[in-house]
Amino acid sequence: MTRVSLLLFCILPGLLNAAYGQTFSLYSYQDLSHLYYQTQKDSLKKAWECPDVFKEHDTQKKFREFWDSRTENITNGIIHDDYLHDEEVYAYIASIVRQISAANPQLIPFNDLVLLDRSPSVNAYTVGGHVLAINLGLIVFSRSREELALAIAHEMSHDILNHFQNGMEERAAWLTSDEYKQSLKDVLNSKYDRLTKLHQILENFTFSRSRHQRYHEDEADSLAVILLKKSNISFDARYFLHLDSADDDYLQLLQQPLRTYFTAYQLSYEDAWTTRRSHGLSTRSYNFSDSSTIADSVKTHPDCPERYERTRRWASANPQSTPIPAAIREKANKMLIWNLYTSGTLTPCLYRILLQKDKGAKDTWYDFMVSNIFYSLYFADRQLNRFNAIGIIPKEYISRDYYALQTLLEQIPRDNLRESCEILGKQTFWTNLPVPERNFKELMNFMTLDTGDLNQKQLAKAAHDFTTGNASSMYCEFADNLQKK
Amino acid sequence: MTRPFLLLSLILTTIAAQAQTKVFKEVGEDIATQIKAISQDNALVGYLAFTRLEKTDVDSFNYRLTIMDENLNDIGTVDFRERRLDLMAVSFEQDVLCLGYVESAMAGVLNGSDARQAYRHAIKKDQLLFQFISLKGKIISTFTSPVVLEAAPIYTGGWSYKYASFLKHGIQLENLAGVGFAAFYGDHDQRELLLLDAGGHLIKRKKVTVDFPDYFLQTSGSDIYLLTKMHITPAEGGYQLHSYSAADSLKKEVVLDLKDRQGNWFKVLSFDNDPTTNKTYIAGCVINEDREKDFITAHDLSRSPYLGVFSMTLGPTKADVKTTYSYWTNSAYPGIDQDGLFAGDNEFYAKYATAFRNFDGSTVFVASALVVKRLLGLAKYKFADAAFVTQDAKGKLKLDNRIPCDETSYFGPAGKLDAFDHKGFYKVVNQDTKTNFIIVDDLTNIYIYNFNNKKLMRTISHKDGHTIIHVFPAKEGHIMVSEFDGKAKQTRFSIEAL
Repeated sequence: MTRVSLLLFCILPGLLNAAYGQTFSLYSYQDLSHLYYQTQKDSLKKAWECPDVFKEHDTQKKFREFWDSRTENITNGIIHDDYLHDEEVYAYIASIVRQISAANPQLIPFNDLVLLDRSPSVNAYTVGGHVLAINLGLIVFSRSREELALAIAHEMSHDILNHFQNGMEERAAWLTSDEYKQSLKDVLNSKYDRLTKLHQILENFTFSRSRHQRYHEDEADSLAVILLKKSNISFDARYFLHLDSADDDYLQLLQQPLRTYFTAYQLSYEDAWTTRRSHGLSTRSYNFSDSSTIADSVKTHPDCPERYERTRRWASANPQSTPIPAAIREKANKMLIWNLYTSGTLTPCLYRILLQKDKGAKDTWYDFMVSNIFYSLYFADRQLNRFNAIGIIPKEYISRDYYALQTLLEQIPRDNLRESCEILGKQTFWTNLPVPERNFKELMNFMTLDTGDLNQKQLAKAAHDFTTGNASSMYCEFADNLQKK
Repeated sequence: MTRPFLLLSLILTTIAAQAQTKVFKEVGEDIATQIKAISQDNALVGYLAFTRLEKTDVDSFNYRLTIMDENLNDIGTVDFRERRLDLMAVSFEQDVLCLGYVESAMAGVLNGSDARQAYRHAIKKDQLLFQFISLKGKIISTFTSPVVLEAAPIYTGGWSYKYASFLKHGIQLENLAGVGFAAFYGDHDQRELLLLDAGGHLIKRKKVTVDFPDYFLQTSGSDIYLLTKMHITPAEGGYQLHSYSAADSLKKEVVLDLKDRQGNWFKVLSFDNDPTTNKTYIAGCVINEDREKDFITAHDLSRSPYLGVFSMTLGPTKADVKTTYSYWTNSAYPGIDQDGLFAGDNEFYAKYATAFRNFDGSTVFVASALVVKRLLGLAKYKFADAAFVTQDAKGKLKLDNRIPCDETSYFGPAGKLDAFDHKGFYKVVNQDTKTNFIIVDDLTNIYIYNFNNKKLMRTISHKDGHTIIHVFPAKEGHIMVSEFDGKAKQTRFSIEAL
């Protein structure tokens, strides 16, 4: 062995450890919004002083209510850690916002407050006041930087066009109008069909708002295209068509039979667990006329194909498609998985991990999370809360593999669940994991495999011990929740 | 996928979010919801929320049915307009939901002004209404039959009264596999058994000639059983069984008094279907004629108010009925003396509460153990364990197990049993694993017992900090746990496997 290779041999484990360190530390506990945005939250409250818009006292009062509730929504979101500020994903998003702002100084003479929302839903939003929020779900869903930029530019356009504030003003004016008050009086004076009449009043209002809002959406689409063009970011109208499949995450099939993923961890698996034994209505073939479908007249957004048709003429000649860096996408996905886990919805969390494995993910962080899911499911079972932890979704909304997985998680006998935790706890991957993950395992072990009757005090103490010893670990969030229970 | 509990709040909070006005409150007060379990073959298959939304004219209301699967996920809604309805029973067969209502301008409990308005202005026609709904959300048929309702004022304090109008014997509805539904009701004038197909057509109606205070309907395959109870002495006896068959369109009626060969009446503890054979059975105690009034106090229970226990497998004819007796008065069973006392370290009398059929064909009697302690000829008593006594196919009786539950303090011989015994029992069956679970709902704790493994699975405290926990039956092999958080003022439901 040469001296160089010897050197490499010595350095390599260190480098790998460093790489692991980077991979595992998605963000620190202090990056959660209740800590990171503490100052901004307070200054936001001060900065968002309600302007005097209406001369009429009642209307101004109502407007102030909406204004204050907007502030409260955002500040509550910050307090409840709806947002986080990591290094890489946030920086990636912020760079897109900066690029668009820099290229459009007349329209955007201000600095936006960009928030990274931890929600898995494919969405971005603005609440006016130059606050933009981009969901992790959107980042994971988007196929290119340009597609992501379109969603961001669309929200920036809403902000530029003051749509949110205009909406609040319209609502305040309507709800304090004589017409509205009279229509409510009419309801009160009528003997019959009161709920229907009330619905009609609100539907008329919603229709009027939706009409405006759809007009606003068209406006925002148009301005977004302009913002992108000035920023030299390609626009491809087909992005709107891709948006149409935003809700298909759990309709995807797995590439392997479900058994394969379980046996890879030497976990017990029986086909019978995946077959619903219930004779209940969920297993029947029902087909009610869908009352949940929103009438077109009250939809706030035009349908995606309509948006595609309307904007395709503005598409760039040879639209560029810059893939979102794999590291950013994977990190966003991991953050999303962790968020699903901490919010206690274990089936979608596990399903997303299995989908990642289909894509060839070998990262042991996913193994760590699979273990956490089984530990938490067993803990939920002990707490008589397995049903809510699984979050059963009707078969119509999910793929047959997702259905089999949720059925398995529901029907796997308690003893097998415990055995799964024990098997996962003995896997070799734990030795490669950093200290916080291994400490987290100790906490999970205490929560689940401890044979004594757990009381809240003991749990809180174990959680406190974890947070004390791992003050900057992102896993403190889970321990925090345990202490708050 | 809204939960039923969110249904109303969805309607109203969206509205109320816009403005807090009197109108939202008043309109909200008009809305009322009833939740019912949907059952088929004695198993829960789903839930139904029946909501009265608003009054549409002097006679009619708008209603909404929200149908949920066994996991409380919405599978659809049905809106309809009808006269005032009181939903009494729900069943399911051949992918059709059958709902039995009383339809009357006066149905249910009305406040004074509503009752007066209904009495003066509304159509005075009282009838039963059976609604048949497909899993496509269509009302495929309705069947009506006139009834005469009872009426009674309810004094609510001061000068105010409410008025209740009700059926003397409310609608009972059971599915008949492959046939449709059997319904029983009774009004002031008559009692009837109705046989309806799944399309909502009347196959047959049959008058029930006996007029007794209580009726219990049970079906098994095409067999229909109506267990009736007379108001006689002994108060715990007086049961009579009426058997019919859908196969002969209720033509033949078999009537059987529930007594042993010596003429001792039976006290019925369970009227249910066998989990293995699906045949209906009745199980209970044989009443001691000499002590038929003595079942109130601890002293009474120690003086042999019952001679033994029985289990009876039913069939369409008298010859098909097979009864197994176990009399402890013969001192035939080791460990059980002739007064029914279970001897041993902690000797006890069994206060039998219910019974169920095990998968091996034996009948299990479930009791609260009344532990007796004797000192210098004086006896004192306490309730402690839940006891499980099995009767095999040949009638051999033995104490299978007892599990520690909430203990009362000791009380004297005159202590009334029902004042001290707070245990409620119900069973959960898992057909796949062939397991019977017994839930003992006691004063402080809920105990979940796996009878087949003889294992106490869980002990759940009713109160955990500021959370109040209750357990209810749910889909097969599961329980529904409700946790009311007094601090957050919200209830969480969870359907948990046993």
